[in-house]
Amino acid sequence: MATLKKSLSLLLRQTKPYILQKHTHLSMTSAVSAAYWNKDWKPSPLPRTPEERAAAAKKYGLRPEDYNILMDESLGDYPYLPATSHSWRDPFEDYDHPGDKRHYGETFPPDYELIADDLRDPKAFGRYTYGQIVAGYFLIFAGFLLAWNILKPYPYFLPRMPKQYPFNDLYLEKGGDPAAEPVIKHYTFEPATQE
Amino acid sequence: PLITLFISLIFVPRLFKVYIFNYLDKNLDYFHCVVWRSTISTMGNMWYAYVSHPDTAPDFNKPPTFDPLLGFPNGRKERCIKATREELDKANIPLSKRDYCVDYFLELIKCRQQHFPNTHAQCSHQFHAWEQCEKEDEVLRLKEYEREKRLKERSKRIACKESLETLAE
Repeated sequence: MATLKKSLSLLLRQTKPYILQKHTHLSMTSAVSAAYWNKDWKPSPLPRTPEERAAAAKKYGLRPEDYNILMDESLGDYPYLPATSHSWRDPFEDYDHPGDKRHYGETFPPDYELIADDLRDPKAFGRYTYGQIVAGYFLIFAGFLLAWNILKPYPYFLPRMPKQYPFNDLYLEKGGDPAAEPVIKHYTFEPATQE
Repeated sequence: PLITLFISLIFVPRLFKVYIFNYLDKNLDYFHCVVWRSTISTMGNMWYAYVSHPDTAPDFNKPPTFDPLLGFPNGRKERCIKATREELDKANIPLSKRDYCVDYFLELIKCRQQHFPNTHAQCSHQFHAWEQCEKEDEVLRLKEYEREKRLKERSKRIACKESLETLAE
């Protein structure tokens, strides 16, 4: 009797209420399970006939009227899909990869990895408009230009006199006239004669 | 193979040492400038020159305007160099190095020619002497600026006093 009780309790434990609840928010999007190996993931050549189109749409889990080809030779019959970021996907859905908000075998745009939760959202409304951004850029640039032009006559300098050179400040070396050579004497701050 | 590895580890860097120290020698003046200029204090100098006292601030682009022997009862020692113009031309010294430290620089050049490529270790004394001379030259320039500034302030004071006296008469 005891063993029967135990087995019954185990059976009951198998059907927990949260499992039933879990079915309520199961995925509503279509997941394709047609591909299991690398050759299956490889895109096929471009579809020509309506039948081929329908087959390709089914392969990618799309309706035939939603299926548009990218017209890229390297991507084959891969469909065009609008770019949507993670933040626009349902956060309460039961995903196969919850971190990526993604189902196994789900079709994504080819540039999907460029759009993520923490990256650019092409549909987001920014804090500033495009014109405001451009105006801000040019204002900063103009401010630097203005500061540069205002401070032009006031250069930064160290508190020192120009460097002294021997031979009359290198008068001949710098291409001066030998006839009109000036006599320039430089002195240290030490006294010349002792008292 | 291990022996060759050790030998290469010891001797291959020595081959590159020549290039490294050659590079350092080419940039001698650069290191000197960076180390010394960072120690000059310029606190309040811009404010003095452009805002508070623009009339008595010396012109840093032109040599001193006052008599260099003004206020020196025992005179001042004249600056001079031992090397002659012919020596400098013979050694092909650039004009930027023909200052009052050129004697030290000539010694440094001679040492470098004698001890190449191990110039960094062998000519450290000569390099230090030249660097010290350049530093003292810089200090002298700072002192000249301060002297010019104070003499300008003094002449302004004197002019003010004279004008007051003429007004009183």
